[in-house]
Amino acid sequence: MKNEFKKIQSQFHKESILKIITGALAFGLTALGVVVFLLRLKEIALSYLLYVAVFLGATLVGGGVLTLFLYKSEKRIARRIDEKYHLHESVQTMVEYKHDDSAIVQMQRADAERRLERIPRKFEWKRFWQYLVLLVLAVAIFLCAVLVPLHKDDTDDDDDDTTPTEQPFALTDYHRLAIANLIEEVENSQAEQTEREQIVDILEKLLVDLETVTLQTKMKSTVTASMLQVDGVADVLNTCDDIYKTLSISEVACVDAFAVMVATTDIQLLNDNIATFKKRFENDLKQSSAVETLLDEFVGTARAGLTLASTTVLNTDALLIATKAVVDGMESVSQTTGATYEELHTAIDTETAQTKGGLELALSQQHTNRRLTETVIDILQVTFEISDIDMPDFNNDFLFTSGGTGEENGEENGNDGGLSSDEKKYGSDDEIFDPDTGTYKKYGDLIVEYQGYINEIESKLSQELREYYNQYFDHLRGTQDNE
Amino acid sequence: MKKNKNTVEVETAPSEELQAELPVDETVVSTDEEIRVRAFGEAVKRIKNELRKDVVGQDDIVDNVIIAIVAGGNVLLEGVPGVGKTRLVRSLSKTLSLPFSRIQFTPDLMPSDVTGTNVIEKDENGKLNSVFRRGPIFANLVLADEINRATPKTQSAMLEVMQEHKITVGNTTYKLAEPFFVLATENPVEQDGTYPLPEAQMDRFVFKLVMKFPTSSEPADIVKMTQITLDETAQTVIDGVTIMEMRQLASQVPVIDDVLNFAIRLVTNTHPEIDNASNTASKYIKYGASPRAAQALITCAKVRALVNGRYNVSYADIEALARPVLRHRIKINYNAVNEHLTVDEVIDLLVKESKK
Repeated sequence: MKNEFKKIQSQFHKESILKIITGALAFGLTALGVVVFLLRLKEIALSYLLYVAVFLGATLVGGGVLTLFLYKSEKRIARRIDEKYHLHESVQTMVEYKHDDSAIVQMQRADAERRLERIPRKFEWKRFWQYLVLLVLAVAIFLCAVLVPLHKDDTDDDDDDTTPTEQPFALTDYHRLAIANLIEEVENSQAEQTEREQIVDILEKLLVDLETVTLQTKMKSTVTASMLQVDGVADVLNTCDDIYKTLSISEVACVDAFAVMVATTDIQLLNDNIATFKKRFENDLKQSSAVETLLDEFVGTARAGLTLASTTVLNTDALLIATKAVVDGMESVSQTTGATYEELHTAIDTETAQTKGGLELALSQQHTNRRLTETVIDILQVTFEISDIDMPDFNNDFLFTSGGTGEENGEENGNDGGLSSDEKKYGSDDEIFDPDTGTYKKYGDLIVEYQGYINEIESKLSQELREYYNQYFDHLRGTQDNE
Repeated sequence: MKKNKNTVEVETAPSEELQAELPVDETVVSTDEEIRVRAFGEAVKRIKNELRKDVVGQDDIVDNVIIAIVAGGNVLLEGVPGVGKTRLVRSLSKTLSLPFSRIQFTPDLMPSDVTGTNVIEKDENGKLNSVFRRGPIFANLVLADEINRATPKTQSAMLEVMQEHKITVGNTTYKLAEPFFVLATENPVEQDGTYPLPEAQMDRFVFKLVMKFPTSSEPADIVKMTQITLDETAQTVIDGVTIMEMRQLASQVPVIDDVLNFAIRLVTNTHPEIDNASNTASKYIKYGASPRAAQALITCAKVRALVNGRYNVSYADIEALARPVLRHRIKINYNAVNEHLTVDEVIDLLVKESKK
């Protein structure tokens, strides 16, 4: 065949190659865009080399498919030319008979070449534009897949939302060893057996639960739940029952309330108060005083000691109720028994000696119980790296499950106010016994005085206690205003 | 006849525009083949020009007759009386300078009237000898006028002649001189006393051409022309040798496989009884064309290509020859008649279906 058909054939092939390249690139970019978008949705990151491989692979596949459709053989090109320029199959005949050298076939060939010379040689932009548009669309798809931000739904409007990101968690040997050590420490502690057994159970269950936890959020919720359970163990055990039992050998009615009160105080402070109480009595023994005077002294000292104890770790209004009950009781005793000084001294001394050990023991045990739960909680926090923000809100209400409140001691108050987990409150005009003056004062005035006392010793208190007292009195004032 | 909406217009006119645009470089020394091809074209032009002197209009009929003659086939001309069937053939005979004979077929025509017969003659010595008297069939160009009026017996006498170009009388076979053509005519109007040509004989005609009544100014031209003289005025322009050379040249025209397959597919699609029969055949055709139709299509398409100044057969050639080649070879059924479809319209549907 002469050059004319070969030139046209070459033009067709160039057009086909251009379309194949454009179409293949479009396919490759589209495929890459889809892959990138899907991986972004799943938050899976791959190496850049893999992305390049995906693009190249898709381009090759697309190019191969397009080649099958777009590549034109000689025959197809000849047919295309004949159809387009109405050459009556002369070019097809020329192609099919290219190896025939008979005279008339040669003439036919020459005739076909003459016809081909007159065919305009122009690039078919009309059909190539379609491929360019596809390529532009593919680029747009790819850019959208890469640049469009993907939002996750967030339905929690709580400002305190500390929902952590979905970081993975896996229980390690470090965690297991830490819990094992903690269990051993609990078993070897001096806390009550019941508490030890319960805490060990809680820790063992925690270990089992954490084996199947895979996310940080789940781990934290599981650990903090266990912390609350541990904390609850001491709350249940640390009642005033033992204290009450210890002190119940005394016949003095006011000891009940006293037991309630001391269950919530610091043991060291209690010991100091008892010592102070004794010391006052001992001092008085060296002096000759009337029974009434000593009794008043006794009552006054008791009031002071109890008040001091009650105001130092003041977390509920129950302490004030207990204080008042104790003072009232002691006054009652002093007024009704008619005991002599020696009798009272002996009774108090005996009472103190007998109960002190048991009281100390009970309180010490409860203290040990509480310390153990705090230790377990602290170790869990450190082991699992739980921030203070994520720590649960432990209930510091040392209200008792038994031993009584002011209500059980027969105290009925028409006006309730102040802080209380119960619904009883003192109104600001309610009168409450002031142990310092030995008179009844209005609750509101008493609160002001007590706060003044706290302010004087504020510098000696820790920041936490200071804040605690301020919150307590602020709440009391708020309650009074509402009254 | 109600025109069916499925009728497809088929190109019948040659692509003159292509021929006119081809550059002719007369300074180049042509090869022998090119000379022969050029001579072919010029001969065809001359024949046409001469025939136009005696036949008004009917250009497509003239073209197809020339194609059939060059291809070596017989033609059946159908038309009402007076449209110029006989005149065309007589004029053609003059143009081709070929021995011509006319056979007027009548119901009482005997086969020996066509082929010839042995007669007893007395020689110079008075001896009686049996001498074969050749019949009118012994010519190069035979006009079988109103062939459908002859009896089947006489018609069958034409079969061997038309197909094999030889006659057997008694024990002697006489070969006819080449080129040999039979141009038969038949009147579609007078059906009384006629004997429809059998399918076997119909298949031996390469074309069936329908000469329609002249239109527009043609009747006036006919009248004017025949006022001058009733005789044919065409002059001899070529001879039998030239026709044989043209035939031999045309047989070399290349045909691509796609066009060949199209012709075969077209003929195959006329058969309703085959597997995967075409929709048109299944619906409208009673029986289809023989493989001779495909041979006729290709052979005549080659001639047509050269006549139109091309050196290869195209789809247009096949489509243009579909009607004359197939209209006498297929039989339409009642469905077609019921839908007022003519055989030509059915052929157009076949062409359309075969192109897919």
